[in-house]
Amino acid sequence: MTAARVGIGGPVGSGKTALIEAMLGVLAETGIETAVITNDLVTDEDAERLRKGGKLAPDRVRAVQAGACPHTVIREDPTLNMAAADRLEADYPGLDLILLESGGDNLASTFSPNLVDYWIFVIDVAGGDDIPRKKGPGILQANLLVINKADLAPHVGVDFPRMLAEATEVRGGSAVLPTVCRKGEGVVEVVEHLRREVLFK
Amino acid sequence: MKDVDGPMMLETVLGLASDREWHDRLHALEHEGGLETIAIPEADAARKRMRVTTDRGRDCAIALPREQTLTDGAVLFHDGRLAIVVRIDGAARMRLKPASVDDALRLGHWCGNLHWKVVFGDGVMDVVLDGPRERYEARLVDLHELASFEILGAK
Repeated sequence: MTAARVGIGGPVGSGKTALIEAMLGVLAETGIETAVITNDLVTDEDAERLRKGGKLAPDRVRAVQAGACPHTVIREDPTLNMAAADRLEADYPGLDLILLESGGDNLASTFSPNLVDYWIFVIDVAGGDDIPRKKGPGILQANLLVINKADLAPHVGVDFPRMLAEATEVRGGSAVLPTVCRKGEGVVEVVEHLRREVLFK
Repeated sequence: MKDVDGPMMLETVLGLASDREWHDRLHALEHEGGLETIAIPEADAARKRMRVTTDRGRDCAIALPREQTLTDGAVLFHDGRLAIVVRIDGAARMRLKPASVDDALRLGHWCGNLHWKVVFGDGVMDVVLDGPRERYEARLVDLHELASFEILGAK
């Protein structure tokens, strides 16, 4: 069976890389062989961060530079990311999962189904509790919506239960999970969700 | 119906229901109650992996090789007693008809910026709808001041 390809998108600073960092430990404990492709604008910043984190062998973290709007390489022409994923699968035949992290983008960001089998959109409470109500395509179309930094809600005037309820409502009941990635909270649930929906192990 | 051991794995496209070799086998199974269908929305047909349920409630997981594609009638399982076939549910479409070439250019540019999926026809463009039609019509309101076009079949 080929490796599942899972996209992770969302606004700048919402916690995409933090989610991956937190997931890597849980995935390793579960015996899921993982690799990561990061997309940055003109640097390898996120890839370097993950390599320094030491939870994956450095060569299992590959970087693709978008050079332009991040969505161009996950939706309009995902060729670079598809090639990087193909190379990872060739280099590591036993891979179960390839996580593809988009560069930080806006609420209209979506992944091409030609690139990923499943995709997560990450927002955070500090970005404002009105984000779900704005109904961006990223919010509506992602297979899973993660709302990160749930612990900051009281500090930024956010009614978190209401934000969760509104997010679930605009998505027509599709999955929404809360996390505090820096503390690892909610991350096991994200991994369990992926195991059921796309990893099948 | 959920298998306690996990979903039934469907990992390859065996053939197409419309192929002669499959047609008779599936027809016979259908009479014996051994044919199950998985309905997949057109918007999801490009995906290689998904958790799905057949029309008889069987829990399945599709995990196709990258080079294979889900199409209407794709046979994903057959053991002589049970066959599982994919049905792609076509998405609704909204037809747009520009008044002139100039209007068509403006209309095409606008829809492209919205990243809409479109199918070109003879003098018309069909937008493949992945959500309520009203959401798409709302995005065209401002364009009416810049280009002349009709939304055919509009409510």
